[in-house]
Amino acid sequence: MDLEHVTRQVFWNVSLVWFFYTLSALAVLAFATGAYRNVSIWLKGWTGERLKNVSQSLSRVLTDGALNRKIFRGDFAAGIMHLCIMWGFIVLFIGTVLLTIHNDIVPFLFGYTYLIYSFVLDIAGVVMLTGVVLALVRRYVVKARPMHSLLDDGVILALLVVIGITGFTLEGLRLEALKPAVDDWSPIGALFARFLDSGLGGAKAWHGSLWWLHAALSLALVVYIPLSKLFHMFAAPANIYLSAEEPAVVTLEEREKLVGDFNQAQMVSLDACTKCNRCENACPSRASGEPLSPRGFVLNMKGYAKEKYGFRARFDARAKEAAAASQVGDAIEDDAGWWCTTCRACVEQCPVSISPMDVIRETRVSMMAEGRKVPPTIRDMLRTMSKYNNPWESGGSKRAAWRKNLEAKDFSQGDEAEVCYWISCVASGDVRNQEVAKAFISILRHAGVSFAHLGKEEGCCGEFVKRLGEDGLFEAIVEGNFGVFADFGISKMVTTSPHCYHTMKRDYPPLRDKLRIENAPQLEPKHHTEFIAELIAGGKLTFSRRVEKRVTFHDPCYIGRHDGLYEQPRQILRAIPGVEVVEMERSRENSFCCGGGGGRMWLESTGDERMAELRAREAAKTKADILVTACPFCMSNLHDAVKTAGFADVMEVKDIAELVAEAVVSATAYEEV
Amino acid sequence: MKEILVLAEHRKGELRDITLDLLARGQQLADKLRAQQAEGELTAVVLGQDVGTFADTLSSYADRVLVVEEEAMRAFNSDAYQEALAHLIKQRRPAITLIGHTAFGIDLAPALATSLDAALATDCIEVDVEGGAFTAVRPAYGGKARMSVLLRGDVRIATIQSGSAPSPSPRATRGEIVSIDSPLAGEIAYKKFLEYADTSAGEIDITQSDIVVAVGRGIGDPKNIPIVEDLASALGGVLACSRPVVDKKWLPKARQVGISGKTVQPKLYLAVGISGAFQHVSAIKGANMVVAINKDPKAPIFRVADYGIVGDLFTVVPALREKILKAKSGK
Amino acid sequence: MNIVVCVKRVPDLAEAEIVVDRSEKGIETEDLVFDINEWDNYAVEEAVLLKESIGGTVTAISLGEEDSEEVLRRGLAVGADNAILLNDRAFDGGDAFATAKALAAAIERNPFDLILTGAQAADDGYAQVGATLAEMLGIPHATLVTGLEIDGNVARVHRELEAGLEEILDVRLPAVLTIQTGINEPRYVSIAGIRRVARREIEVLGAKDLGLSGDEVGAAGSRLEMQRLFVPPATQKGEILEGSVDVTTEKLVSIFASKGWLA
Repeated sequence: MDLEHVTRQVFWNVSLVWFFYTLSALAVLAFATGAYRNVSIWLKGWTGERLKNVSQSLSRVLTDGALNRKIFRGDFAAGIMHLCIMWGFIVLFIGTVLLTIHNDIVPFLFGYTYLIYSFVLDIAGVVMLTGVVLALVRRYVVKARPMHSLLDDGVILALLVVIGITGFTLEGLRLEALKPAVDDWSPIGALFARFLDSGLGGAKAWHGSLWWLHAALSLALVVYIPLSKLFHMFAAPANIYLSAEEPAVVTLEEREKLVGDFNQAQMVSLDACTKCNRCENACPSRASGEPLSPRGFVLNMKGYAKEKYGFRARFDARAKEAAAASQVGDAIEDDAGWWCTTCRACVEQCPVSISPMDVIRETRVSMMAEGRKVPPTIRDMLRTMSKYNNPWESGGSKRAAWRKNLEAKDFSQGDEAEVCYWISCVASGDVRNQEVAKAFISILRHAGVSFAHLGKEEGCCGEFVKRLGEDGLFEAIVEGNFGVFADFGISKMVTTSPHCYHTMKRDYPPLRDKLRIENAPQLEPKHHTEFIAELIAGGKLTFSRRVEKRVTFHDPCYIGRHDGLYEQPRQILRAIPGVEVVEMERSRENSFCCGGGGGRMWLESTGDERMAELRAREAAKTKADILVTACPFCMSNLHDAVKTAGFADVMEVKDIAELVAEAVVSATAYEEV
Repeated sequence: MKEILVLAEHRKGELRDITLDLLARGQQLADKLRAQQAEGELTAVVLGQDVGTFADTLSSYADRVLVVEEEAMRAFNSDAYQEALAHLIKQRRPAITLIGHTAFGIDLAPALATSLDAALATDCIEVDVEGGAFTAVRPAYGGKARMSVLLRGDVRIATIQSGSAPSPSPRATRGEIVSIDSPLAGEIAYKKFLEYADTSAGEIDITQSDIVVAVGRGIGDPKNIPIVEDLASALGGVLACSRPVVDKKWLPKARQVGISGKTVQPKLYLAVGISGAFQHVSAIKGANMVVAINKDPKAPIFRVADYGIVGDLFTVVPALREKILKAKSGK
Repeated sequence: MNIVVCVKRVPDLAEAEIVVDRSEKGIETEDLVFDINEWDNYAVEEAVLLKESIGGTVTAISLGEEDSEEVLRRGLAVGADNAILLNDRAFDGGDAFATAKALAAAIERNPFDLILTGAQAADDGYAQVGATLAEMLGIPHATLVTGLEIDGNVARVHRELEAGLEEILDVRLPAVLTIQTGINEPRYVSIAGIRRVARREIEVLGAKDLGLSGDEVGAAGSRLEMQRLFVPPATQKGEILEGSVDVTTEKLVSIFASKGWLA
């Protein structure tokens, strides 16, 4: 046999080839129509700002898209499964395209080229089938994790399995019937050929019928792609690219000119969802038995978008009318959006970079503007906030009086200092958190930091106002605060609240520029864990007492997942003599929210067990003496939960500043603060 | 200008307590008029159907009781009352007419005053007369301030806040009862009373009670809740609770006091075993008096309490209840 | 259905410290925060809910100075179609009667089916304007309304009585209903919502526009003459009762008794 001329006889044993071409053309047309619909819905979102860092976005697509980095995280088997299906599918698809080129345009699959081609495709087929079988077993047999299976999950896997197996069977039958001299480069096909009955001359006949089945199913799959979650093969990489940066701040003024419910990246993200359910499994609200599922929410919004902007709304008069009237708030059941703590666990988990958290916030913005669906407790708090610039009380005179008692320098009284200590609303109003403020002040004194607080001029940072979607109020707060900062020449800022810290770091600067606030300083906010860690590293803090305690650290969402401060608190804890640090089952990026973020301090749980209690239980498992945190909301919730969950006798809740203060300051000095 | 007219208030076959407040206030004014200008008398007016027994009762407190009986006034109807009362006031030209500042008086008095071109002072806690000039003191700014006002002209009406006057004592000699023909032409067609409805049937509304006794996490176990419940009933108040108690499903949500529960403004808020987290205390700011019982002297509830007892609720609460019952039965 | 809703701008009193000014007839407003009167807030919501369910227009009307525009704007943001501000120095110092007089004159200029007001205002607390207005317009009224259904030209209303009791009655329209808190859940009014109506025109009328003379309105047209505003002496706060359980509970009981709670 002349190796040079080895090749595939395309359409061997296939009659009515023209019919296949017709079908293929129709399938491609159907695919294009579906894809056009999906993309046109994406374009109904408003245009976000241009990405600033294209290369970073592209490298994200490579790691998270091509290499499935985040699918592997925490679930190696899932990674293998998906990587197999994905790359098997891609290679087989390329193979089909190459074959079409070879057959209809430029014949090039001869000799070694063909043999390698044949070999690679054989392997790709096996790889894909392996992945699909793994998927079937995980989803339907071992139920690897709580999943939410719908019809299309089964249909897709079944199609892939049948297409794969019929493909190999066809190859086997062809090899069996033709008995080519060189067939060893199709090892799997050859394997199939060996198993197929060679005694019957029927191989050829079987091949003829099976070929049409294989072709029909393959074309059906093509048609099905834009209609099912399979479209994520386009939407997911697109979303990974578009979501590599946080969504840009949209000012109220800008928003008034925008049409639509979401930005384009968010519209893409709705189609990127494959219902893998990792977000739901990580969602603390879900875990506590509340009606929110991030996955459910995203798919709900996808349905809403299809209904509002899909073909039917464009061509059917009645659907058009309904679509025009439909509002995002009406599509949400059980007030699901308000349950989100904005803890970012779902974002962290999503393999394709969807942010259910941001999608939810966007719907909150719509509902805020309309007003009807805002829960009463949140409504009342926002009213208080807009009147008094703090969420807890109307007057603010008590806060001012308490702050005066701190006997620290006070900008509002004409004192001057390098660093502004932003006390925060919770630490000013809540008795337990007031202790934290005192401890932190004692640390600042000990380290000789030149600091002052804002006294009666400190209002609210507005963080949860922003999370709740009341962007107008947030802007007013930011403008007011920048005015105060400008008045006192403040740029260096330290706070014990991750929420104040985060919003000043991430939300304030873009608003400062967009709102063109005059004389507004460039803020340099630091969280106290960051600040204390630096003091320790700089030798400013000397520990004079041992704290012989076993402690575990609860990562607050807003310094952890939102800002990546995982190391600083641990460095501090390790620096304190005597402290033994143990980790909870879920820590760092997997940390489990206390339930205080996203405005949830004003929305009572209807769940079975409060998030903070679930967390307290987890902490108790470590046998720690102290559950350490670094956030006033966490403190408030966990302090309460440790009691209600029955661990008050074995475990204390402390802020990291309190632990540090104990170790650096003599007992009497601490009391004097 | 010698007569003080007082409108009796009754509902569902019972004379309402406000009537006694009005009679007491009316008596004071009548006495003052007598002292200042030698003439002063108190006349009670009762409007309705089958109100003879009310007239009897009222006659012990007034010089005269005017009775107008009319089917259209069987249940309170402000328009029917307005017509009848306007007729009497025009006829008798009293120095002042006193009506209760109740759901009934709030509906009646303003339109009545307008129809008579009278001066009306509402929600009065004091009414005084000096040299023929009537003045009233009434709350403003949610009770944080008070205003004294002069009622201009010679037709005057005041609605009186309930509980603002001491109870009157019955007279030795009863006043006369005068029956007056109804001036009403018949039914009031544009306003029809249909029925009463009890909203608190089923679920309790803790915001409506003057005394709220709230239990917190300090109770420890749901089986201990009756200890506090008994204290609440001894005080004639309702049992409420803080969030943890609802979270544990020991009491229904309707009883929860807090930002996410009910905001209450009782006369007395008695917090038992409640530490006083800010979510809780901000919902009791409207209480006139806050009393706290807690074993932790540092519990923040003591910062908002007018009176506090530091001690174990399991000993304090039963002792308190016993003393309350004793004090009540002693009177 | 043409609905008119009367609103008032009042100081927020929850934690405000009231300081009487030097005239002894008003208060120092510098440190106070102002907002729509809470009862009126429910009235506006009720008006807009009615409009949303049975159609029609809502006109918000307020008597006050220029800054009362903010509560009218709030009304527009909730869903009112028109807003009228009665602003004139001649209106100053008016009691409920004088206020109702001006409101009646303004409302009478256009056809109406239903007028809603708050049951009372947080500042002067008269609970009087609504029913007075009804009498001036010669139409029926119901006060302290906690439930409302419109059927043709009849309003079925629930009136709040004492101790959890309500009375249900039918009132023929046009009528004035004074709205009690809790009748609905007023929607949130966002900054974005206020901004949306920022450019809507608010009609401003003075006494002359209403055909009223200076002595019919304001202090001159009032039936009550304010003599003095004062703050009653405050009670001392916070006493921890000392002693044994027997002593402390005894002290508490005598405090309760002195308040008349053990009668």
